[in-house]
Amino acid sequence: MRELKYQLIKVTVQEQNFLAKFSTNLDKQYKKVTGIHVSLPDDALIGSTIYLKMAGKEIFPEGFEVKMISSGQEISPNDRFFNDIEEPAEGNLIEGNFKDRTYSPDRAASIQYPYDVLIYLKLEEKA
Amino acid sequence: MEKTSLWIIHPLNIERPNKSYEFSIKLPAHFKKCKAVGFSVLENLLSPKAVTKHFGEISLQFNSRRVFPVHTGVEYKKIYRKKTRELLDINVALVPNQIVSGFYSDYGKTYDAISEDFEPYTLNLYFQCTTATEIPQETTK
Repeated sequence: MRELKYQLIKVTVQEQNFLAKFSTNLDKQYKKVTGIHVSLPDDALIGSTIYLKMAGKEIFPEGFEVKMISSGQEISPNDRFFNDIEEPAEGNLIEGNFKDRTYSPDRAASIQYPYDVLIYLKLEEKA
Repeated sequence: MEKTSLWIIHPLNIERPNKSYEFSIKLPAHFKKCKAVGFSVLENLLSPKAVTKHFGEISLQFNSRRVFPVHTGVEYKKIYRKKTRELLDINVALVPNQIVSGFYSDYGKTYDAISEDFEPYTLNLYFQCTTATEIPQETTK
């Protein structure tokens, strides 16, 4: 049976239109990344964008909307992951940024700053 | 690891109502297949008059108009409550150095909440591609 691990990256967004950069290492005990899911505290934030690189390779380009890899809480945890990805983990660097964006002033008023964005990574095959 | 997708995002700025916008995009030559496409509207459409499911339609042609996989309505979802992907599978084998072309027709359904004038918006076209070479049989025409 394949061994799985879910690695969490927490990104704090301080204010409206904030660009939050992040950088960390993938778990070196696992061989590959096979899924990603971004959890937001409010649906009004789905127009925010994420830029992501793993081991120097671009995974999501600038302007990539978070809603493409996000979902509501009514979805079971297993089904929340975007699975069209397979990249080596093995301690490689994962880096990128999250750009806060709300659709309108009305929706922005409902957002409580600062807030945390949770990026979940699904890792497989313990080395 | 060829499972990882390569993405192209092409924004269309819709400035006038009831107008068709043609576009032409050259995908990188090393892209071998377009797995899926997605359409995303960036602006919030605030007026009650603007709360309409369909506010435009789009047509896409690949490989310099030899493959015509998509002609569909573009929908607006005010609240995002579903499974992850907002994508439509197409699985088109790409010929290197050919273009993706098409048009988007606005239905004139987006209004500013206060003035009720037409509200310009941006439609992002997402192309989910891969460098993998295997092509499903049904994609060739």
